Amino acid sequence: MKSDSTQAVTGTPQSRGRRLSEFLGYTLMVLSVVSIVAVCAGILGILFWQGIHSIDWTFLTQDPNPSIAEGGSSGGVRAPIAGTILLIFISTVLVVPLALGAAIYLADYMDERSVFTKAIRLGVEVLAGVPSVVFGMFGLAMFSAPWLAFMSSKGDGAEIQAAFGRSFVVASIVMALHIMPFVVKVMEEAIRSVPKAYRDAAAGLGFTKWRAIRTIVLPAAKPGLATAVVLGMGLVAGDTAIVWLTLGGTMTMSGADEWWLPWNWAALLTGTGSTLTTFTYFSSPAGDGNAPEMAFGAAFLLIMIVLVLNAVVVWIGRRSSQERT
Amino acid sequence: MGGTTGATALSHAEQVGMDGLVGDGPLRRKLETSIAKWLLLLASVIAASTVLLLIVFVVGQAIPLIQHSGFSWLWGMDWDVALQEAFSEEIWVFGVLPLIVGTLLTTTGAVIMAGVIGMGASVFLAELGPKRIRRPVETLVRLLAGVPSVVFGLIGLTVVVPWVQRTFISDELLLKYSDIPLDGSGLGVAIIVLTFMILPFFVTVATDSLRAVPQRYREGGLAIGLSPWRTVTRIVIPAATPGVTAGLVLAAARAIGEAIAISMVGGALAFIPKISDGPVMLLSPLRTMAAAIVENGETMNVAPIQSVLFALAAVLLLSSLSLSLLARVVFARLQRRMGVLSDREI
Amino acid sequence: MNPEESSMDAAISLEMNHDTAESTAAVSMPITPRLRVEDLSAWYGRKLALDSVALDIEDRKITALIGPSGCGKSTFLRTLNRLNDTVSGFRATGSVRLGDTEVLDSALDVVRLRRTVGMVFQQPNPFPMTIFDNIALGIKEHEPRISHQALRERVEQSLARAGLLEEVKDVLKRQSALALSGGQQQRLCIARALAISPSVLLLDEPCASLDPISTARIEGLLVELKRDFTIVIVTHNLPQARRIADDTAFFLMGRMIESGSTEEMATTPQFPQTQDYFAGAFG
Repeated sequence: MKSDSTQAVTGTPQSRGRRLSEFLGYTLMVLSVVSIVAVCAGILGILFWQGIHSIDWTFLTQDPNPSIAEGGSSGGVRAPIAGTILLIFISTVLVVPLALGAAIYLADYMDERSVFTKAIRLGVEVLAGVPSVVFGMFGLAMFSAPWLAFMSSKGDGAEIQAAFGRSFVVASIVMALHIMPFVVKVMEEAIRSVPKAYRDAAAGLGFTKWRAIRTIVLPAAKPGLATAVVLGMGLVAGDTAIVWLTLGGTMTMSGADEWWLPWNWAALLTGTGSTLTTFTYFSSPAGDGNAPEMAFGAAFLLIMIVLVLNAVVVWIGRRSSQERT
Repeated sequence: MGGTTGATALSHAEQVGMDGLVGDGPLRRKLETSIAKWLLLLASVIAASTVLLLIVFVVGQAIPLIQHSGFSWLWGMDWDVALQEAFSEEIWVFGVLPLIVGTLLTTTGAVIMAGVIGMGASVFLAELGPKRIRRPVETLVRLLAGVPSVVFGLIGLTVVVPWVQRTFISDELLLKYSDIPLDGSGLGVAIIVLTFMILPFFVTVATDSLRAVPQRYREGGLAIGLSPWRTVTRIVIPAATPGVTAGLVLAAARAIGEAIAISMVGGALAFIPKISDGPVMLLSPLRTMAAAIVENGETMNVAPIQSVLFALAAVLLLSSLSLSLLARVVFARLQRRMGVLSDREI
Repeated sequence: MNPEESSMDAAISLEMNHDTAESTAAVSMPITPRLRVEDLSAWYGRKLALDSVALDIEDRKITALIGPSGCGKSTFLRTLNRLNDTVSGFRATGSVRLGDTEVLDSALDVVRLRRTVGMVFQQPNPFPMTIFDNIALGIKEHEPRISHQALRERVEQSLARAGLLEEVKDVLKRQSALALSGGQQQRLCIARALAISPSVLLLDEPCASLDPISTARIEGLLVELKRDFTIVIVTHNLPQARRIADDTAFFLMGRMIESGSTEEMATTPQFPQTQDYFAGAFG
């Protein structure tokens, strides 16, 4: 341990073997990142390249051609676009009160040590891992119950006793339940990230807990809550399995021909239809439509929706961080 | 001077008192508070009990199959032919083993690949990547997370599969393995597609776990003369193991349930890829449980088919629930082993 | 009788003798400073954190760096082993010479530097692994081919020097270091730093999060260790500086105001700021 004051920095430099292994490690790390960047760029590039050719006025404004005999290559994606928007809208309306309520309760009202709390938290957490195809099957099972037929339609043929179990209402409810755990989690984080000092200040002013949450905590958490909702919308827009199972495989709106007219809306909602994801699936070489150029057109629109929602999330984040400073 | 302050303080106190006691009226406020509390409780109970609803309905619909043929379907080998026959006559004998094997193979492959690539990317994002590049890479990861599964499937099917066919499948190969339909789709492409589908989730979790490792561990490592790379591999990654491992288990839960993309690129045949075929195993077609469900989603008016599809859904549901629980247990166990007292224990 | 206290007393009296011996030697022969800092300035981004600091730190003595929080003393310390390299936007100019090595030289192998200049932090930071692995990690890193037997000896020797071996020898390979008490953790960190045989030991407020008894143990330990090491300790605790430090340097707003023997600084400070600081701290 004795040291020579002229030769200060001692010890051997790193061995060659270790330097080589470090170099390999860094290489692996960079390659991982490159693969992610390449896949991202590839997906976007292919979709833009292939998709842009399919997009024209007819494509956007006509409904898909219902007859498979003619091939899926005629018609457009008006109904799938409307279906996507409709599904996003209804499931968001359904999920927000439920998720917000649960998130507030989880963030502010719970005694973390009680068994009840742990059960609630566990329930929400494990639900997040359930695959969407299982949610779809659940929706079919539940809404085939005859007394729930008002949400879809009476089954036909042999299954006259059961409801059809597929409709926009059904798909929206199932979708809302599917995205709920995720939305709850993001909302809870947003609520928790409001400084405790705000709550203490409110309590010091004689606010009850609920009044403090409503008047101070929730407004402060608004950017995070909005982010949760937008991310949830992205999940709805991108899901295929639930839509395929609970909205059915019909590419057009089955509820009514002129579905955009207000007096047809009840029929529209209890009827089946499609979204951009199921249309893409249907039109891909793996589906009955087999019209890849249509599939690419729809996929292009889908990715545009994803990009816009991503941009909204970034915008919310930027704006809230600007407000804070 | 002192008197003035005292008076202001007093009047202020009065104001607060007035506001708190009179305000909108204490009764109304009390009512609002208790109603709110009950509504919030209701929302969280609904949220948490959804999982019970799922179990009841999905498992419930699988019961007819179990009544007819017990659990023999779990180890039966025949899926495709049995399904065809079930359309014309009422049979209750199915074999889902090929689907289970297909699911296990794709999931295992994707989890391993996503684990390796994901750790590399996470170390880049959380520790060693140039700071200026981290932000854009993170944006891309988030973007990748938003890419719908059907888009992965579409590109896999129209771009990757034809490429694999052109590159790897020669005429000799076709002759040699005439019993396997080789067209480019199959295990290999399924694993690649699935890898990049679960990768963003794993990268997010792993990056968060690495970032949660206290800075003082890094400084401690550097201070005893470890290089940045060695500090990360010897100290930071081991310290992040609980979170990373739990993330990998949750990624597996996602992989087993992926339906659409795998159905598109898996070759749509309930075939069991054989290890004895060597690399050709990666070209062998397969079908997973989730894929089988969506592929037959339209034909559910036949009772036996409906029941066996629900049985598959039940297997998926119970597996995903077990994996979620496993992730929690693994997390708590590993943390306790490191000596960290966790408040997240079950 | 409290054994802890008696060992402390012994250590302090020993220090006194040592000190007088040193200062008589100083008359006959100039002491080579171990660390010579000249014109050291440092910035975090645009913010000036150190403003042309010059300081000689002598071999085998304890030098205390004191001053109010934010005065630059920790920055100074973290510049000595280049740990601030990891802080983005940090930049240092001037000269820090360790023997004949320029520490600020960008071509210097910092890994080797940090092997020579050990560091202990304000908050005890044992790694989340067993006690044994905490110490063994650094040794194995620098001597990959060390035998298992030798490794064990080195680990135990380091723990013994840090006065921790007796308390932990039965659970060395079983217990996580995070299960130790705060004071034990800090001694473990000192043992970890000693294990790689440095010649300079930097301590950044090592007792800030500890109770008085643990603090006393660590102070006693440092006084013992200075026979073999050059010790630089950052502290905001003036009585602590007076108890253990031979020399003291007073920092204020990024400048080194005054340095010299601790006793002189405490009794007859040269500058009004130093006087105020001492007065305020004592009062």
